[in-house]
Amino acid sequence: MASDAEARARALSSALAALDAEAGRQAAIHMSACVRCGLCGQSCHIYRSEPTPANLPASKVEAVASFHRRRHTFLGRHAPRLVGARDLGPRELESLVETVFGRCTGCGRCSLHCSIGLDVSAIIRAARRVLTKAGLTPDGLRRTVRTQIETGNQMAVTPEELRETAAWISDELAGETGHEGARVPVDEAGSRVLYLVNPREIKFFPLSLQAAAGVFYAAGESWTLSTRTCDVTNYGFYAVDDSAAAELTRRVLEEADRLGASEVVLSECGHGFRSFRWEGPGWLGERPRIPFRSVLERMDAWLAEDRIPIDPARNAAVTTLHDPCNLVRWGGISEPQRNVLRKICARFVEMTPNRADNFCCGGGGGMLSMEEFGERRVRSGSIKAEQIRATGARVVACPCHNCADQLLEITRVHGLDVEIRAVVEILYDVIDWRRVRGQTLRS
Amino acid sequence: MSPDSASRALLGAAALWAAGALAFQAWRFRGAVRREIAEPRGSALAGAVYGFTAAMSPARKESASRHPLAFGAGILLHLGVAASLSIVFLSAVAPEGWPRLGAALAGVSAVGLAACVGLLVRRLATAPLREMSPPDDYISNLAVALLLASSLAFRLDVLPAAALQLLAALVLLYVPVGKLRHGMFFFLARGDLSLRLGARGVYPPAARKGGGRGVRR
Ligand code: SF4
Ligand code: SF4
Repeated sequence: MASDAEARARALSSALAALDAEAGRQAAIHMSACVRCGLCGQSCHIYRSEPTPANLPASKVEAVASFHRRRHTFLGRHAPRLVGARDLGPRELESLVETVFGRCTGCGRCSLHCSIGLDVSAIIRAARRVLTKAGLTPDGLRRTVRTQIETGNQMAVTPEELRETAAWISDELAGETGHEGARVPVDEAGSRVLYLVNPREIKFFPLSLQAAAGVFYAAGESWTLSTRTCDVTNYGFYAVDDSAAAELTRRVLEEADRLGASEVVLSECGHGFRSFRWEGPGWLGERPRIPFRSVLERMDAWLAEDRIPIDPARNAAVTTLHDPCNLVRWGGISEPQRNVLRKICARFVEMTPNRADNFCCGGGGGMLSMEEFGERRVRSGSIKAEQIRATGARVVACPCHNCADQLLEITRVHGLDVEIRAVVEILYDVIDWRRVRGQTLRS
Repeated sequence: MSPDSASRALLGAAALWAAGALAFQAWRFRGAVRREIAEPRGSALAGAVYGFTAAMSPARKESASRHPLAFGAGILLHLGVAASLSIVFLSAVAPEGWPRLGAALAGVSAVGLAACVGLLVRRLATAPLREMSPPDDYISNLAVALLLASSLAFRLDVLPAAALQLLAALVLLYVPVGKLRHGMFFFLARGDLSLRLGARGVYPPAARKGGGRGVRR
């Protein structure tokens, strides 16, 4: 059995090789651009909630860039102290883990406000890639990636469990809506849409899946879940384990092909959307033949086409909207959910700031799977909690199950009397079932 | 060779070194600024245009709106550098020409010099900034101050053209190896981010309907 020292030496040499591989790549551009003006602190929810120097976005950039500078710049090699270049050693590796996994969610807000415009999260992701290659991913995150690769989903939901849940949700749905045809189809070849959910919906939030099933039915969409790949999340993205991330993307495309689906619709999930829609083609090295769409885009289109009869008067509660960073700032999906909410909420109010300028809720970047940073995660949610409080809303529409977990926790901690709901759940509540035609349009 | 032509030759060589070394560093990143493979949702070009215009206004950038003094000083400093480089250039190619323009450039350099000193004081006086700053930050600041001050001194007839050109050549030698290379990396970094956000439909921001400002003022 290898000794600790040997393991540490191996980790270090893998990290150095991975660090060298980043030279000449996108993140190294950004590492070379920071002028250390320090004007980014107030744009970061983590720094604002815990204003220590280590939480300054500029310090996080510097924590990574100093190692790159040491190996890949002239003065860094020959006069390291002059330019603040540092050698990457075992101790530095350890503190880097906390910096890039525990002090930054990669939300990207600071980048939009940086005087230079450098992509801080690209730097953080490059460092996460280095640490992952060195086997230093925090345990919780590494375990989740492994579970996802081994079982096909991050919560190890079995095919039987999925089928059983689908069956009882179908019963509930038919009973509630009065439409026998309303159900949760599983493994149905020939469906137009393969729908991916967050496994939390199957395990803990079945109402969300029930609502989606109701909405699909009301819109007359032909869709199915798959017992092989049901998961919209991709923890390879958070760990920056590119091969795991690519594998999870490939499996979904293969399953969509096998079932003959012509579109993959993604349940409300920020990083899931970013992973499949934007990063997946990069991981695979090609543009997928089958498009990925967010269910938010689909709902927006269905309402615009009048495919779902609604009665917004059923929803009188003041409703506000959380903008998940990966969906909005990194994904470009800011308006579909607003179009939907304006149609289905009698009283919709915006948070300030909003859209691409939103504050991260604190639960991004895989934080929810890393217990060791839990205290900071909850503290960093205080900015979002104050934003919610200022709206006076009773309902927070949250188009991401990951953010929803964080919002549930921070609203409890901050004593906010609000309900956190997926957009699809709010839409489901206002469907006028007497006017639903009830046929499924097949492609 | 006269001292004047020697200093001009040195200045030319230093300018070539700076431009060449920066171009080489940029070339090393060829291919790093990638087009999205994913089908675009917006326009990368529109994103870049927005990224280099409205996105940099204080209304859109907290680094400016929350720090008006530092932001203002930064703008004045960069204007001063442009003015000083113009003075250096004119001293080499048309020492007698454009006296009015020279006076205006000297004024801008003077303001730039004041801003440069102000930013140095800010760095020294702000604890987290001071802790984070390697000597390179101070050398870069002083190099720029030297350029600004010497071009001003030249315009005030206290420094001969040859000395100005030699000092400017010294500063140019440092440009590609220290923090001053951000003059090139600024365009690469902001360009890369803006192209990506443009392709994803994030930049430029969607028209705002139904209230709610995207940006905190
Ligand atoms: S605002 Fe940008 S350039 Fe300035 S210190 Fe922060 S990350 Fe660096
Ligand atoms: S990406 Fe987000 S969490 Fe990370 S430093 Fe920037 S603002 Fe803070």
